[in-house]
Amino acid sequence: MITVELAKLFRRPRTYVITGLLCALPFIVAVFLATTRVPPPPGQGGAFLSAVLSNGALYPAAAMALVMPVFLPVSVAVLAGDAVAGEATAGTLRYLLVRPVGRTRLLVAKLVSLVVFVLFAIVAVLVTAYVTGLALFGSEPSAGVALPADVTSLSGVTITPAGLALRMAGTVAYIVISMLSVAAIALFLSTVTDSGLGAAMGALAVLVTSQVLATLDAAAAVRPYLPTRYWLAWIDFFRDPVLWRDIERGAGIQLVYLGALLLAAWAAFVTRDVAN
Amino acid sequence: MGARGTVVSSQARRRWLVVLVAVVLLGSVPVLLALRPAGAGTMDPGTLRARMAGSGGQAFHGYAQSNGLLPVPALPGLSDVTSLVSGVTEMRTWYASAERWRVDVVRGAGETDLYQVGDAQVVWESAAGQLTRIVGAQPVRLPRGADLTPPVLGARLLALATEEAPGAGDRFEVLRGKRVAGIDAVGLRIVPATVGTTVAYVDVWAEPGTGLPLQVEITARGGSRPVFVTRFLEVDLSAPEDSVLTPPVPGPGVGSVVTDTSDLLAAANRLGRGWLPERLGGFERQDTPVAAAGVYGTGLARFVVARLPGGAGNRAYEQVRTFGTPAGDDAAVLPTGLLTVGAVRAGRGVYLIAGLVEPAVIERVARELS
Repeated sequence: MITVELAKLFRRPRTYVITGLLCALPFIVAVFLATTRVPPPPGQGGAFLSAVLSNGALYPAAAMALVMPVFLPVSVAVLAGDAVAGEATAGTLRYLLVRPVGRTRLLVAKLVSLVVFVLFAIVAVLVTAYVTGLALFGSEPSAGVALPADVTSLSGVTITPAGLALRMAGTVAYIVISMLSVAAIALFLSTVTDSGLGAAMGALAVLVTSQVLATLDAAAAVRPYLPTRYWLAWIDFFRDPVLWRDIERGAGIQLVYLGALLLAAWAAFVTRDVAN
Repeated sequence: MGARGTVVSSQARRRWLVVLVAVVLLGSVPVLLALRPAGAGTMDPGTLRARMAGSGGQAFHGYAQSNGLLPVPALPGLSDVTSLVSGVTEMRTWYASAERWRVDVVRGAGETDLYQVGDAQVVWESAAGQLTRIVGAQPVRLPRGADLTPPVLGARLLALATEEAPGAGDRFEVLRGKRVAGIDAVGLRIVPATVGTTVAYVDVWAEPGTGLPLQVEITARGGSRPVFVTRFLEVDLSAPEDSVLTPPVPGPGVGSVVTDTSDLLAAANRLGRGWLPERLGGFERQDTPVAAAGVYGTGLARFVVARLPGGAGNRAYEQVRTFGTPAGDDAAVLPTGLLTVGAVRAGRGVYLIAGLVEPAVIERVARELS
């Protein structure tokens, strides 16, 4: 079942279109930055954008900061919202379930497929941003060694290439976990409606509400429990020492949302009357 | 069939019940953790005060957060200072001794780090990619994030309260214990009796064994809730690693500049170019090495007066006048409940006044300066 879902994911052109769009945004920003050499004022603009002008090796982190708040969650919500509802709209859900396929297994397969998409999209953004960063901003080789130059952390301490790779791996893992809760919201809504668009819009409505409340002082009491509260905590991987507090809380809250919503999706889908 | 329910609908109900129980269990964990009663530890106020005052040698490292609710507008060139009392400041702190510590003020995608290395300080500004080494003591400087960590603010407020003249009547009361950053802390309330201060009381909670302040709350007169709170969210009472206390070194992407405090003081005197009286608003001036800035008053009823040059001074004056109330033709006062800010136009410069004193005091000072 999982193999079937993965094959379907990579067979569909939309997977590559969405990934291409995700990669395009950092590329466009890099072209403007490299052409004008005008960085955002200190403390303003996207994270790491000021730093990349002197070292392109940090551009993958800047690219993550660009796609993370809006583009990536929208992509995940669209795909996850379509996961079950899309099958129902197309009339294939009934045929899918006629085969000896458990509904729980189908849900798990859909979720695995979404995880793979998120990983695929993030790795694509990181690789294209790394190539773009080195090509457009350059990287001074350290002492004649043909390795990428060291980069400076937010704390002013040098990060070696190996350290940078580790921190990027941590970033990828954290963003995947963060996007899983988006996927879980959309997947749950996808099990209660036949409209993939409606499920995606519902998930986005939840995220927008969360973003608004996260900036509201009056909502300080609920802020730690909002799904988007710790989304940008991956930036803390680039401090020295790494600031684990928000990363741990962010991962924890995402796992709670993931568990609760998957359970709700399971409860809704297992006894759902698939009529069309 | 619908009214009595089917096997399928009862299965659905059971599944949703499982979901509900799981959500309630998951959601109740933080609530239950927050509701855990704190230890009912208590201590004689004199002992607690002495223990807090002597906690300067205690090593620690942790994560602290301050939250100021004072409606102070961003003053030109002083927005970093005003944001300290009008918003949230997140701080990471590592303290080995008075000569070796580090405080990072953490913002979204940046940070400002301050290292104390012997008698020099090193500031790292991530936004500018700039290291600044400040050599020499700084008898006068602007407030900064590092002043807001609970141990620093707690010790400062305690010192101000206890420097009151004998017989001033400040009260020290023991508070109920509170759990701060997982530690059962003991609390002390300082109720100043000083005339003219806006501070109703200061509550300090400290680790009982060492007296290290963990949470400080300041409540203004007439208020029922604190308007400024700083507290540890995580704290460890062990010495930080030495590597954490070593400042970064200049290199690619890290600019560097060295500043001597004697140059800074000379520049401040040159720019401010002004004279401040020995007595203002009925309060004596304290010794400061900068002619253009002075500290007046004692205890918690104290205020600072600084003479700002032309452009910056006029912009600050306009801000205070816009958000505050006029106090004469060339003066304005901005009361915020706790902090009172005033600005006075005099000659080609502007006097900026700020302190934890009542607006009437600042108005009196403004009249004397204009």
